[in-house]
Amino acid sequence: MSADTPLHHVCDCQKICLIGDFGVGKTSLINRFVDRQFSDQYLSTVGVKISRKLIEVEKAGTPTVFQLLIWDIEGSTKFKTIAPTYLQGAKGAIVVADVTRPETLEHLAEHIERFTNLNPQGVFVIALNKSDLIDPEQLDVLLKASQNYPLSVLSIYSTSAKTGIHVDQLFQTLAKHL
Amino acid sequence: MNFILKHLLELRHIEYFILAKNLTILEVSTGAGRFVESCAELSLAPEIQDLFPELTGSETALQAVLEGQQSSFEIKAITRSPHPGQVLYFDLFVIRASKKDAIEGQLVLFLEDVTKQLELEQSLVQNSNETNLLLSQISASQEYVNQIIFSMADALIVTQRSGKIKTVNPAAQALLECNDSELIGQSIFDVIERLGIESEDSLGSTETLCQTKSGHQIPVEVSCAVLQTQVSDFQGFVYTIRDMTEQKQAELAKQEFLAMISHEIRTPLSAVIGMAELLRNTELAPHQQDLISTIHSSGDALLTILNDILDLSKIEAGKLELNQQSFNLSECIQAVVNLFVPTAREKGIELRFVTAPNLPQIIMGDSARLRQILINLLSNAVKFTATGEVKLSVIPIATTIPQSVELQFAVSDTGIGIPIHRRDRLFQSFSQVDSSITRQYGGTGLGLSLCKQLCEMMGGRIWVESQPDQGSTFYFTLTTPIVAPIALHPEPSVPLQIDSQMGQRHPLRILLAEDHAINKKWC
Repeated sequence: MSADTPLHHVCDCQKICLIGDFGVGKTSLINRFVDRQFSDQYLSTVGVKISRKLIEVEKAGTPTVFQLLIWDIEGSTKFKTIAPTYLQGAKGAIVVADVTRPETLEHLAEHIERFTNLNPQGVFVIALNKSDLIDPEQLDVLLKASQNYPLSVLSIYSTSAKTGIHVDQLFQTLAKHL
Repeated sequence: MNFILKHLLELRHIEYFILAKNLTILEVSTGAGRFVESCAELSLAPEIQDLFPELTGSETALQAVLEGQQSSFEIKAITRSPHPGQVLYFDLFVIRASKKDAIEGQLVLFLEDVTKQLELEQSLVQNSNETNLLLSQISASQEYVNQIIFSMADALIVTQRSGKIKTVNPAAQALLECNDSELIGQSIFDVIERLGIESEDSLGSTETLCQTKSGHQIPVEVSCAVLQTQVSDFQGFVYTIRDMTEQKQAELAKQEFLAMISHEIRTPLSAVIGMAELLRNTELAPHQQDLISTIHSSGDALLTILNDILDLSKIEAGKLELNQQSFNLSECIQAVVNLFVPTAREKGIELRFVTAPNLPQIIMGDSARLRQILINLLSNAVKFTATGEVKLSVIPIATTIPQSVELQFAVSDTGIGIPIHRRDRLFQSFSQVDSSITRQYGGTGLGLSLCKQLCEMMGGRIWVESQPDQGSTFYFTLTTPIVAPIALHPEPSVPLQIDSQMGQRHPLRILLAEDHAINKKWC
């Protein structure tokens, strides 16, 4: 590559972010998807950590392999929101809420809006995480109530990083639409 | 980069990369390698994104810096794990070299190790987040408990040990017609009558009245439990109060209905039986005697059922009282056995009463109710036995209560028996072994339920042992005081025959006050 080549990096990498309130299980979902591991111990994330995962999806009938650059971003709190530079240039995001904490569900729309302002073409999947901690009946009610999201939300999954349920589908669905 | 600047950066532990416009690496500081992604190799990386994947997707922002549209670009607190269990945090920021620099127009990427600050921040965030999660869990569980209390149909009141009201739910406010501010601080004894809590053992449920704000008295059932929490060392009581108005009305309606049955059905039925008895004592042809006997026995059967229903209702309402009178036990039992002699003889089965030598002669109790139990059991035994025998035996069992004896009665037969899976239902009201029993042998299924209730009222119990097709033995016990033998008037062993001619032989003037036309005729 010469020094005069235009500034565009050609890469088979796609940046996605995991966003949501603190303690909803973003790091645990990544650990489950990337390393197939889960720990009950809560360790809050500060700053950002990138994980890579090679993924194969079918696009227009053709199997495509590429690398996901998964940004594990510190959870937002009442006093600290996500830094815009973390989100810049991401193609999509997994927006995570904890089904046992109603306020994290209420904040889903704010996270989607903040991401969309920086990446208007961005797509989302929603993870209603820690689904193993509530009754299936109650989960159905939550899933039915979580329908009023913009078209950029591809799908809503009830997930559990602990049991692994719907975790792969969550990443696969997003990857397919990047 | 000039020597002084390099030295300054080294002192501050800041490393750098100098990048060409296309982001290829032109120069790198000596210690910069520790910040790159662990899988990347510094010497082989043609472009900066291969070493710092965090810059992937930031090309537009870097272009803006390069063109001077944006002064800098930064990503703070990037995390690396150079070794398991080890964490490195660093800030990355990119600026464009100025005209005064020898590297004008190139991008300079600085990397500053912020591990110490971030470890401190991580510890603070961890504590803060854990506290918030805990608070969130506490709020959720408090909301859950509050929801239960506030949506309860029954009234709930929490008081201090003194009875001073501390918490009320909406149902309590509705019942007492007061809002919470009117009730909190007031004594519960002012709103609910007769709530005597002498000791913690006396807690339980009780029926009483509560006083509403408008001055009404409402029948309520109050349950009380001790409340003791570790938090703030609170000690008190929790009361659940159920409005019993509807239940009381239903109970009253049931009692009125039973009283009506007692009067409106039993009176004409007694007249039927009485008239049949009078008619039986007149001169009749044999086939007329047969008809009268059928009328009489059917009337008797109907009266027995009616009396059983009324007895059960009385027991249920707690209104059946037992007489406590001394009576001769053997005579009482023999009289019952004698009642079944004709039927047993007719069926060709043997009927025996086996007594024990040490059986007390006189006991204290309700002879009529004992007779009722024995009649029920013997009637069943005779009914369900086609061949063989029916035996009634009674033995005394020593008790720890002085001057008392526990009597164990046994009524055994060689009848059809009861399958094991049907025995549980036997002593329930309206329950027979099999519905086909009702069709073949008749009966309402009330008798054994009544026996059970009566036995329990007399301080005993009832049970059965049985082998299908071989027979059954019904046992029951009762505890009774022993009375010193005295001369008692012997009870008539057979019902007295009504002598319809007695009035003519001994003419007397009798004043009779009777409002029922049929009864007037009978009397």
